[in-house]
Amino acid sequence: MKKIVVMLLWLCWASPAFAGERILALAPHICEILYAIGAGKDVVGAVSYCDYPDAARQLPRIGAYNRINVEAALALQPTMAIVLDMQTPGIKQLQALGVKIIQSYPKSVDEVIGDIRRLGQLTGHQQQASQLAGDLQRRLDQLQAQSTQIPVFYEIWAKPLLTAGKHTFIDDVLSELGLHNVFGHVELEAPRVNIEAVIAANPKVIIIPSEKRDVKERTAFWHKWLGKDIRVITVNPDLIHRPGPRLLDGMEHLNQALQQELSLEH
Amino acid sequence: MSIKQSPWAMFFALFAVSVCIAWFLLGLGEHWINPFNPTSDIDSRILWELRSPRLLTAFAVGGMLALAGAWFQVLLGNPLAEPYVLGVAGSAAVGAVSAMAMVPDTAWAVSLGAFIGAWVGIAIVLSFAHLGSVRLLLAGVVLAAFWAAILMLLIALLPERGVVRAYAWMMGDLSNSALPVWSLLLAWGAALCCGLILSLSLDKLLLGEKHAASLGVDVPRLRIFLLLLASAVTAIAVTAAGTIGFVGLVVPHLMRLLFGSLHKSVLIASAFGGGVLLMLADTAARTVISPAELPVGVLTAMIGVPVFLWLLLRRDT
Repeated sequence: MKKIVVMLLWLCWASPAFAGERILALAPHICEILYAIGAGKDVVGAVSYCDYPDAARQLPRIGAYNRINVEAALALQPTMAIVLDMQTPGIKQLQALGVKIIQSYPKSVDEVIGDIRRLGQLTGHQQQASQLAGDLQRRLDQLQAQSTQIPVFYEIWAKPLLTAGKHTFIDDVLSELGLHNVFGHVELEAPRVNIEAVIAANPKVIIIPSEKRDVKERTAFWHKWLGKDIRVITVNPDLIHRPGPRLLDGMEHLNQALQQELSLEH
Repeated sequence: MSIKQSPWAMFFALFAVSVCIAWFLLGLGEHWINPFNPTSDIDSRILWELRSPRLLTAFAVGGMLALAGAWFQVLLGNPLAEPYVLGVAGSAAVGAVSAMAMVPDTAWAVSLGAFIGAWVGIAIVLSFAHLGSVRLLLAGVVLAAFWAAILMLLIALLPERGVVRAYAWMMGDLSNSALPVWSLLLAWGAALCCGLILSLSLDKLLLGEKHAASLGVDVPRLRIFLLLLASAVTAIAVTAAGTIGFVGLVVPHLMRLLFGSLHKSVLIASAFGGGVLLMLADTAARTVISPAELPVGVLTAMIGVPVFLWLLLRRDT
C-alpha cells in the first residue's frame, strides 16, 4: 500500500500539468530542440542567435546566451526558463521569482540525444521528443559503424590557428564519426596551436567549420605545408557546433564529404 | 672609450648580440633544428618560412614598441607612459574587433580594422597635443577608458566563438602579421634613425620644456612631431601583432638603468633590447606548452618583470 502511494506521489511529481507552460529558450540549440519536439508554440522568448527555425526569428529577445535582461524576461510572464549555464547573470533572480529553471548544456553527442528526451518530458512532448531522439540515435549508430581513425585537423580559426582540444563537444563529434582529432589530447577548450605542431601531427584531412572562409587560400596553404594529398572540407558551423537536433545533419554531411574526398583518392 | 659613448660601437655590439640570440632561438620549436644544417627539406622550410619571419617580426615589433615607449616617456614627462597610454591600442582593438564582427571570415580585415582604428585614435589625441603634457596625458587616459568601454560593448555583442578570437588578438599574435617582414624591419630602422636625429633635442626636453626652449629647441613642433612619430610606430606594431603589453613600458627603463639616460644610447639599446625581449618571449610562447601556444603578452611580463625588479634593487645598493 505504502509503495503504491509513493509511486502515485512520484508520478504526480514527475508528470506535472503542462498546459500553458510559457518557456524562455536561452540558447540557440535550446530553441531548435523545442521547435523540433513540437514545443515551439510554448516558447515566449529567446536570445540573440536563436535563428532556426524561421519561426524562432520572430520571438522577442531578452538578451544573449551569457546575460539576460530580467525585467524583459519577466514581462513575458514565463513559467519555465531553459538555460545553458546556471551561473548566467539574472538566472538566480528568475528562479527566486518562481520561474522553473532547467539547464541544457550537452557536452557530447549522446548528451544531445539525452537532452532532447529530457526536455520532451519536462515540457510535455515526450512522444515527439522520443521519436526524434530515436531517429537521431539510429542515424548516429549508422555513422558509428564506420571507424576509419583518419587523422583530422579541425581548423576553428585560421589566424591565429585555433582547434578543438580534449573533452570538447567538437572532439566528441569527431570521435563519434570514427575520426582521430590530432589535438584531441590537448587539455584546453580551444588551444591556439603552432603550424609546426600541425605539420608534426600530419593530419590527412583539414575540416574548416565555415563556408564563408576563403577556402581556396586555406587549401593552397595546407597543400604547401602538408602535401598535395591533404583534403580540405568545409562544414556549416551552425550544424556541427550547436548541440541541437540538426547535429546529425551536420555529421552526415561531414561524413559524406569525407567519403567523397577519400574515394577520389583511390 | 666606453661603449656608452660611441653610438656606432654600441649599435654594432648590440646587433651582433641580437643576431647570436636570434640564431639560437631559430633552432627552438616543436623540435630542435640546427640552423646551420637542417636535415630535411621540410625542416629547412620550417626554419626559413615559418620560424625566421616570425622571429624577425617579433624583433621589429618589440623594438618599435620599446622606442615608442621611450618617446612617450619623455614626451609626457612621465615614467609610467608606454605606447598604449594614449589609447592607441584601445582604438586599434576597437577597429580590429569591429572588423571581426562585421566580416568574420576575412582575416586581413582585422589588420585593416586595427590600422584604421589606431589612426582614428591618434587623430583624436593629436587635437590635444598643443595643451601641454599633463592635459595630453589626461585626455589620452580618458580616451583609453572610452575605447575600453566600447571594446567591452563589442565583446558583449559578439557570439561565443568571436570572443575567443577577440581575446586571442588582444593578447598579441606574431604568427600572422599582415605586414610583410621587410616592411616591419624597414619601419624599425626608420624609427631608430628618426629617434637618433632627435636624440639631442630629447635630452634637452628631459630638462623641462622651458630649459629646452632656452637651449634652442622648438618645443611645440618637437612635441607634435614626437607624438606623431611615436603613435605611427605604435600603430604599425599593433597592426602587425595585436596588443603586446609591457615591452614598451619596461625596456626603456631597463636600458636607462643599464646604459644611462642619454637618448642616443637609450634609443639604440631600446630598439635592440625590445626586439630581443619579444623574440625570447615569443619563442617561449610557442614552445612552453607545445603543441598549444601561449599568448605572447603573458610571457613578456613573466620574463620582463623579474629582470626589471632585480635591476631596480641592484642599482640602489
